Amino acid sequence: MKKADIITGIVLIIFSILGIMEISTWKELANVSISIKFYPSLIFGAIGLCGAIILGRALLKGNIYTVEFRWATLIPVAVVILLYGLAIEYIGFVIPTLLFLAMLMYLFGERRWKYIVLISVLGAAMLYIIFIKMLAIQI
Amino acid sequence: MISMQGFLTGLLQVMDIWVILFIILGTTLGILFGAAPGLTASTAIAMFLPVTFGMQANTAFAFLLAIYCGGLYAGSIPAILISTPGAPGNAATVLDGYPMCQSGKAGKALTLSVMASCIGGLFSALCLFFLSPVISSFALKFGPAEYFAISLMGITCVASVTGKDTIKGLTGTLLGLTIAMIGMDPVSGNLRFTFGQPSMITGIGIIPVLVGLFAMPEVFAQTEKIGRETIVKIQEIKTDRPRFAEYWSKKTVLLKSSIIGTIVGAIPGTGSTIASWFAYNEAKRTSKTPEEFGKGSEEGILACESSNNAVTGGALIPLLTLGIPGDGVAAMLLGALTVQGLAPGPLLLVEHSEILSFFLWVLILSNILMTFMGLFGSRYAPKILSIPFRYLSPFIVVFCAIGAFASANSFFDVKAMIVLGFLGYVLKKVGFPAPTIALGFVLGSIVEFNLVRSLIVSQGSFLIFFQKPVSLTIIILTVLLTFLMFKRTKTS
Repeated sequence: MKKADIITGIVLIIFSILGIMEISTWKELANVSISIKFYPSLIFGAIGLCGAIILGRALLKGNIYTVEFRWATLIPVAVVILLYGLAIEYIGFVIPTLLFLAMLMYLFGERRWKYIVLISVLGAAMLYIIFIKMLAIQI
Repeated sequence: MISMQGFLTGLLQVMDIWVILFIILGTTLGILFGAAPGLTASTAIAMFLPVTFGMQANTAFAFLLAIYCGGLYAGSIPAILISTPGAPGNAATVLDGYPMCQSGKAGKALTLSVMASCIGGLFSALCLFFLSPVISSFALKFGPAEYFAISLMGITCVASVTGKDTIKGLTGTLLGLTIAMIGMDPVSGNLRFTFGQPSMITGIGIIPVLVGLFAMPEVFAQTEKIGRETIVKIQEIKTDRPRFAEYWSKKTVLLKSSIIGTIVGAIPGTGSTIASWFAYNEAKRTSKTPEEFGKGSEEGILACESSNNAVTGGALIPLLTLGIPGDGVAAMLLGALTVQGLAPGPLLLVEHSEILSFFLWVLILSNILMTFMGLFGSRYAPKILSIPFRYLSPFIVVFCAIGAFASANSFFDVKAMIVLGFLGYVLKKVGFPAPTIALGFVLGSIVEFNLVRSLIVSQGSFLIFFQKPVSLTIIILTVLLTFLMFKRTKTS
């Protein structure tokens, strides 16, 4: 991602504007002496100001640098983690955890299936015994 | 002062077999995580926080404090052996540790590191024990203006010293304050940024935020190394036997660095990175042989590591006395205290005076244990450094998911943790360090509650912060500290 500060500055300014727009929809409470919009507006205003400084600095001083994201490896890992977060809610802990351990090991470069199967099965069993049985976490 | 009864109760509580076992386990895990590539003490505490939810409070704190001590020290192992600091706080150790390793003195460097860490850790534990009651009794007189001033100090310090860019540091803190605003307004009860979601009414919990910001970004960051892993080859290591006279001759460096570490740790929002660089520069400035610094100076390692571990006790002082964490790890300990039903702040030491004595003994035991493990276990360091991350990462995620869920039995927290983890990774990549966001989040409710309450009392006048002597002193100190730290950080 080139020109990281330009993009960051713009995102922060947009975020700040959206925040202030949301705050402006709030209705004031009758019995409160300090406006309920005061503190949130202060924070979003400051974020917008910081975004403007970052953007201005990048444009005026040429404060531009490159941030590299390895999307090809990052996205599959992020998707599998997100799916795992959803699966444990709807399917339960053991099967999603077993599959997740195997998939993430594969995505991180392990290609020996014996290792993948062994570690996932033993790992899921160990996690089940520790957290569900011993610590009684109702996940 | 803590009563003799409180002191002895704390000692008796440490004598519990489970507490001792978990101190041993915590120190071991802390060392393993601190030394393992890509993992830190923060990651370890974030991961093992859920394990403590089912424990008794004492066992839980003993376990987490032991991880903290072991993890901070062990970051020096990769710094010395492979020129890669285990945590940012060990970065200065690379300057002299790695040259010593290259000249065949890896064992000596590791011995210096563990001994200095132990001395720094023990010094700060004693400071925690003796200073906390004084600060706590003083803090009992604090009103909202004083609390706001202290929180402001934390925010400005963290913004000015974390990372390379002050504006980004400040923005990170503001983003943390924004996350803290989600849910119910602490003063009026108005619902904010919940977007009609019932799960968001109580806001995002401290555990999902901290676990998401500290542990998950490490997993995402490791995706950059997939297919690019390098095999680490390290020489065989044999640590030297420490000699008392050798350390006594360097007592000034050790004492000064331990004091720096404790003071910096006690300033809300700072942490081990600043402490170790401060101590390193100070040791170099006052050394009789400054030319040796950067080429394998023993004083350099002693200064960095004693100050680094002295942060442990220092960071706990504002946490226990004011309810304000000194660094990211202390922020997670705040979460642990809350989960165990304890409210950190000036009343904590009044209602549970034994907790201070208990923390002192846990820190003493952890530091001694850490020293033995460091001296006799260093030969296994190459094995720890060669653990492939592909086996660790899936378990880190599962631990984090369980931790996020277990804090409030909510799947929403699991999803929030994953989203925050990804966001934390992206933000870190573009220059917003996780500790700034985390501390902004932790301080968020304290800042808002005390700011608004102060303004209600003063009928909207900001002069209240300058009319109260304590508040005014803290604000002046904040300005001075920010200027000083900003200047020293830039120099470092």
